[in-house]
Amino acid sequence: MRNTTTRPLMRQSHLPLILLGATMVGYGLLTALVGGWLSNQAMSGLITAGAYRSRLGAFEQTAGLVVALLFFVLFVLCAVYASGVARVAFAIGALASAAPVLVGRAERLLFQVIGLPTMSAGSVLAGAVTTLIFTLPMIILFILLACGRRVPRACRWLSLASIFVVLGTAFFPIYVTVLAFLLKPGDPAVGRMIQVSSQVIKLRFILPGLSLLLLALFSLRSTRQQAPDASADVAAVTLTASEEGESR
Amino acid sequence: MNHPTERTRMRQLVALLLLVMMLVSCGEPASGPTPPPAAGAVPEDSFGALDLVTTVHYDPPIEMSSVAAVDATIKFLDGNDIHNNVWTRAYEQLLGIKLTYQWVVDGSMYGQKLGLSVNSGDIPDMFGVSAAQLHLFHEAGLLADLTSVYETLASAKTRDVLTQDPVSLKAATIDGKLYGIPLTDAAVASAPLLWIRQDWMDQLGIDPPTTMADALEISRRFTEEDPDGNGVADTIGLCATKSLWGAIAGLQGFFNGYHAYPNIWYERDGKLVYGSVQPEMRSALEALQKMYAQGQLDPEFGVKDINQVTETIAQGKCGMEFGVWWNPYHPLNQSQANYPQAFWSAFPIPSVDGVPAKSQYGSAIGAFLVVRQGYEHPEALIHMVNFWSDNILGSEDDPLRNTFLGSIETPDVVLYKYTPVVLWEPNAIINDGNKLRDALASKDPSGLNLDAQWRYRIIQAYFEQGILEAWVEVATNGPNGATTILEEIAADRGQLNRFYGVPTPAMAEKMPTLDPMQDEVITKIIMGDPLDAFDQFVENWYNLGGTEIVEEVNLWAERNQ
Amino acid sequence: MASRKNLRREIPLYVMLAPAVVLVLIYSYAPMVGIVMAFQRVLPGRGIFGSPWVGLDNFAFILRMPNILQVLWNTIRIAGLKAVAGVIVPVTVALMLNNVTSQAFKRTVQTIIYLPHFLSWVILAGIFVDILSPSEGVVNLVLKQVGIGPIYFLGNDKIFPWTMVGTDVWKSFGFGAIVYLAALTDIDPTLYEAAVVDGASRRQQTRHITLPGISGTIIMLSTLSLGNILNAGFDQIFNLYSPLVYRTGDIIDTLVYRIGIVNFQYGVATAVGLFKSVVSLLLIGIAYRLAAKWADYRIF
Repeated sequence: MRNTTTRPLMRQSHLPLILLGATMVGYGLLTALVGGWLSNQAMSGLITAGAYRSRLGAFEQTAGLVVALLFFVLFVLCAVYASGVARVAFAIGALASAAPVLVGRAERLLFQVIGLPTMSAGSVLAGAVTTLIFTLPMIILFILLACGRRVPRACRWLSLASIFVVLGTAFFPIYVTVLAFLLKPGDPAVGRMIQVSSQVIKLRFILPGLSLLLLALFSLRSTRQQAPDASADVAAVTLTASEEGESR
Repeated sequence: MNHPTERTRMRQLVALLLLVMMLVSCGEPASGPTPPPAAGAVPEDSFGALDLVTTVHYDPPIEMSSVAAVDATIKFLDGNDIHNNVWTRAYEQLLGIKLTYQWVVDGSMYGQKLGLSVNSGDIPDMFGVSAAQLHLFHEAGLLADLTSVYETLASAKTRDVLTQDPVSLKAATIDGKLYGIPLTDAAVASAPLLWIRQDWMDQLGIDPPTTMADALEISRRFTEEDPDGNGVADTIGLCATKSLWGAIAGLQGFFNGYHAYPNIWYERDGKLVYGSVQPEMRSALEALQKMYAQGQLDPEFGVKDINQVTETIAQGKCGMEFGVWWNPYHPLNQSQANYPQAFWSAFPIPSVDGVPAKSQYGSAIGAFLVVRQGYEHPEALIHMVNFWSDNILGSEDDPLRNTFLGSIETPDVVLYKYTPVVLWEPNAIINDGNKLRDALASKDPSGLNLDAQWRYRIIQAYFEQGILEAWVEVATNGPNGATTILEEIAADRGQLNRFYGVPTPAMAEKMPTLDPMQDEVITKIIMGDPLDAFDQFVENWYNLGGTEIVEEVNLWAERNQ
Repeated sequence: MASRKNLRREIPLYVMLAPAVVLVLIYSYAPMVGIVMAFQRVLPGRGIFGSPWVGLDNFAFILRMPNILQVLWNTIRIAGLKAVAGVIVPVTVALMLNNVTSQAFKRTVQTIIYLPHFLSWVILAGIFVDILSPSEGVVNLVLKQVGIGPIYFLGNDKIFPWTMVGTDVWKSFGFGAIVYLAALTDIDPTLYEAAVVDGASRRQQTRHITLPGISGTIIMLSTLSLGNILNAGFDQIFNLYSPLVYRTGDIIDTLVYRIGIVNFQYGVATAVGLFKSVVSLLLIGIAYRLAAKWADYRIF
């Protein structure tokens, strides 16, 4: 009868995870701020729709590229610092770093380079694909963490909750868009949902980032609780080794 | 097995919740197109709850027969039809006018059916006619004189609508007497604007055009610098159709940039002149010829009709077109079918020199409501018009709009199509656009009617959610949209067609030949014929009846001052 | 005696014929009264006899139109070419099909060439603009391969009338061929058998048996088609013409259409119709006489 013990998500340092969460929140805040500022200017007529589009595009493409690189490096670092199921989770999560690159580029890539039919809802489709590329790895990440036996209990519950947060922020705007442009154009109730979803869409990166930060926090707390019990830590390490042996 | 239960439970929970999420997110849209509530229930009208103004109530009710032209696409709420709908009920209950339709035909058959009906002596009490029919019916002595009933009974709002455009009442007046109520609409809506593929301009880093030279340069760069980045020289600068003129890809806007105004009559040195034969046409033609030679026009524009040009636009090959404010709704929206990032912006017609260019437009009055000679209640028509203008025009009251115009929740049911009495304020498009823009700037849609609120949401979705498909609404009614340019045109950048009468005798006889001659010469010059052909055309035009037409038009102008 | 007996016997036949005669009287002869509109300024509500008489003003109106002679010539030219090609092509095709031995192949070809007859010109016009396009059209792509420069079938006013004839023939030759194929089946097969015994080749059989056998049908259809000499095909030309080809492509019907747009000119429209009918009647009459005299062929 071997007793499974939980252990923190990161072996030596939680810094990569904290940085990753912070970057994600920061990127989310930055896009929300810049996007909101530009759209405010455009909606009050200070800049033309054309200027709005080109400025936003320029911002999204540069910021997207930089942030995607950061995401990727930090995800990989997290995977290196983590072990077991958490390592797998972060390795898969690294796939999500492709999403910021796609923002502002997805239309051209999907419909001109790959040549998909647009079905006259090109930007909706492109938005959905971008969202999916970010959301799917993140959800898998959180599912794996939620199911991980040795993941601290608080982290597991948090991961479980995060699944819904990610799903909600990602798909509510798409759902509203489909309602607004295809199913119920003109419905005042949908009009109010557009209002809500334009706020929700700003949380697309912020909330998952916050989740990661909280994960780091909970994980650190569990480290501190377990710290006096050194034997458990040793057991965890040996267990990792045997688990890695199994996986090979 | 340690804690298998906990592990399985967690997994089951995750799986279950995922499943629920999927069901929720898939299930709801599927239940989307359920029949709209309440709206379908009818026909119990609640006119009493609305704040309605009426100028008459006949007791006992009077009978009025009319005729109806409806599209094949017309839709009714449950229990309603053309003979029993909110408008017939309102006329009967509120005004005491029992409106009946002798017959109902498709709009395209209306003129023919009306002729047949009138020739067989079956003349409706009140009906709609075109300008030519107005004069013909008057000549046949079929129409009642409306001068005195209009003078005594028209409400202030009715007078306001009918006089906003100074020519509308004049067009319905023959020998000093009023024989019809003009169905007004926004004349400026037919003024051409310059539409440019904004995404191409951004791609190549081009600034908005201020002069015609800028526009020509944009056209050249669109043609030569592969704005769509597909590595193939398949783009054309300017789109045009074989009919040359029109609301979509018409060339009149291009000519306007050179202060030339083809096909309309305008004042020059105190006399009315015909725009097509003025010297300014020549320099515009020269520019078009050069563009054609450099491949900036479709080499086959001379044989392509609107549908084929729409196809060119949909294929993302067209960079500029001169068209009216609603072009984004059709056909410019098509370019997004293949290129989601495609969108167009409207610009005022640029000018060839320092003098601002004027967009040409004509009277928007296509039809008149007339009353049969001998009908006992010619004034009833005025009361019906009053009912429309006092209650509907400018109303932001949603219950009232839903009752009489149609609810946005049932967009295919357009209620005002059931009545022949439909007048629009000439500047309604501009006013609506401005209201929407004010709301967008202040981020407060609460003052808008439901229809405008929806436009607000759509524009919001564009700017805050990146839904590019919404550019259509942005480019027309959004900030800096096309309707802001219409405002400028209405103020002082428009050239109104000064001739609004029925064709003069010489026009009727000569124009069917002179018009094609003009279009032929213009098309051929653009495609490479020497420019002298234009001078030859001007000479021919005057010789083949143009002189006579000019005389008649100026005589007409003197009489209609 | 005999004739009265015949009459009595034929009464049921006359009774059966009566509805048709009445219908023709009502729908074909009664409306001819409307011809008077050609001599009136037609006002609504005044009826056929209430409108003021204007003598030949409506005809003068047409003749005063600046391009009327050109338009008349365009009409006759296009319609005439169509009439000629409309005989030659279907007869040739019918003869060729007649010599095909495989019934299945013959039927298939017949059906395929017959199909375009049912397409409307509105649809066909869109298709033709595409396939005849000088830059992207299939036809010009093939021509370019053979080294013939792009031809502006619809944009060149010298070629346009021929394009109209060509596309019209393409649309209708299958239908025409069927009529001739039907006529071919009437030829007595023993004639061919006799010819084969006499050692006639297939070409000789065609020239001496088949062609004379269907000459009656050919003459009849040609004569009738003369009645359409002023109908150059409004649907087709209206959908395909453009300012580029007005010089050679504008026909009476398209001109009348434009007059109608400018004004409600029932009188003018009737005058044009009357003019066209008179010309057709004259031409059919002359052609019939000629056919009777030279080909010894009578329709009636």
